[in-house]
Amino acid sequence: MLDDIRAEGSKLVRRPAIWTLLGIALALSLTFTYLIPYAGYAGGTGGVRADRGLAAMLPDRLVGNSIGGLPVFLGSLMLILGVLAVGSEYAWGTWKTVLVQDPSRVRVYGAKLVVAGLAALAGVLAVFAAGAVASALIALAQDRPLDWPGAGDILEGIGAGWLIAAMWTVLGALLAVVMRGVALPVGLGLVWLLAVQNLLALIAAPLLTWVAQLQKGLPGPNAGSLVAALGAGTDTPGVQAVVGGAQAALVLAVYAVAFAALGGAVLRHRDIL
Amino acid sequence: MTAPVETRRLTKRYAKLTAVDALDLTVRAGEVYGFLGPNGAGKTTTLRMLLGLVKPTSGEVRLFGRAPGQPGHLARVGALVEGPAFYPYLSGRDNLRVMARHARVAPSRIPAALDLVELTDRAGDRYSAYSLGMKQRLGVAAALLKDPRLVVLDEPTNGLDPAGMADMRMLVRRLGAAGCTVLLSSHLMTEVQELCDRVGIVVRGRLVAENTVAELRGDRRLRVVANPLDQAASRIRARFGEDAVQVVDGGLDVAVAPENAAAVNAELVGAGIAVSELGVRERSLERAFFDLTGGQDHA
Repeated sequence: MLDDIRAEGSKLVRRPAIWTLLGIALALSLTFTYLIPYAGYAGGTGGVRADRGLAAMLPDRLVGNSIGGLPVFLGSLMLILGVLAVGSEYAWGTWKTVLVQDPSRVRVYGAKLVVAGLAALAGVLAVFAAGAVASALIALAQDRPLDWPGAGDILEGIGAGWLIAAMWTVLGALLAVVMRGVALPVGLGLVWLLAVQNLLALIAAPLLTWVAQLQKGLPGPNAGSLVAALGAGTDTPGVQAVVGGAQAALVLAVYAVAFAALGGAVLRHRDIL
Repeated sequence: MTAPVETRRLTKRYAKLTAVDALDLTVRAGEVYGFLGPNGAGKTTTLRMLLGLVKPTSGEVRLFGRAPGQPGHLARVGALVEGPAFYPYLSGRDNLRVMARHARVAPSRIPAALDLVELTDRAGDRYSAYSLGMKQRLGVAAALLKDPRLVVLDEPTNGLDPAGMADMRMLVRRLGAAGCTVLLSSHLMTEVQELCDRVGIVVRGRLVAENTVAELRGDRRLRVVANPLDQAASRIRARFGEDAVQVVDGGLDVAVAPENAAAVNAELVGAGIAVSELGVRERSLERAFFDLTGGQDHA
């Protein structure tokens, strides 16, 4: 399988769209976590997240700030990553070219998930690194001490972020296999992540008890709960402590494994047209 | 079953449509086998089933005795099915590197494969910048990466200019001469006639004929144009039998061996009949194909 992982790694690393996704992830993360709040703070004009104040942008809040976007907007980008990794094989018709080389379908799919999962980890690490630089610059500019979270907290945050990112990535891969393409899985995935999740949380859950209970089992609210447990601001979209952090991590892990297994099973049994 | 390709009652149904119907196909080691059929006859579906891309509804497929899903089913099989497909942002060479890794083939095979299809000079260019013919040649290069014993080529000359088509035919000949078995699906009758040892013709998912090109084309006959034509027909019937002559397109189609051309000529000239044309008439593979398929559009 190492050869397949190397092949998939080569495809992903050399693909410009993947680097564009990373760039967008970093730009969004820095803009909404540091740039706009800092501009609001420095200008004294208020702003989207100015109420969080300077304290929310300093290095000791690095973990929560870095993973706070994963339940919604960074999660969307991770879902797109998963769709691109798998769905492009349908869009370009390259499944047949790969599979006639004699790797098994499950082996190639597994290699894709490994590589996409590593790419998701790289994305999380990049957001952490960019956040560290941004928060350090803010602390230095405002003459505040560079108090960093403990190494254990940072590792826990990276692990949680990777779990959430991987879960969305694997969901993207599953949607790509089920819908055999790129456009529809990205479209429907984003509708779920950006619209349906918020509608359920903001409109349906307060009105209907069963929807509120359902929230405790859905991937988005569990992702929100996990990042909330690790210090993400609850004013961030999608961040809400619906369940405890440990339970959320378990649910997300189950989702990631289930999505991966379901995608593999569908791919294995369906015709490659 | 250890033939390069062998199917037994291979069937594929999509809802009410039977794309491939109880197909028994055998491709022998070392031969170039032509796979012909009208549009929608089930050729590509058959090829996809051979390669394990599509699962049969029923029946068996074996490549060198191995069924799809068994380890090594495609270990020595190269294929180009329904046009080339590669990653547009990678160069031709990098695309082959990716495929070589999936195939567990040493990268040292790549230059040889590129050289075989004469794509070495442009191997560093992005695939998206390739012409259709270059893409097709890269597809063949990918099919040859594994140094295969069986090559499945689906319309390999599609998109190639005349020189490219000639090169591709030369390549198929070289593969055949080197002992490689080739299963060639093509819509070009002349190509199949020129390249293939045996031909299978599939219509509505069923194999309606499988034979050598020569057998499918049938016996060679004589074409005679003479004046007066009715007298010529009478003389030949008297000499070679009542069923030996048919009037076709202002001439006579004479069912005798070409070696008898001189005897026919002597018979007619001796009777004072002017012979203006005397030649061997062969049924083209295309004619044979239309006769077998009832005149449907080919492949």
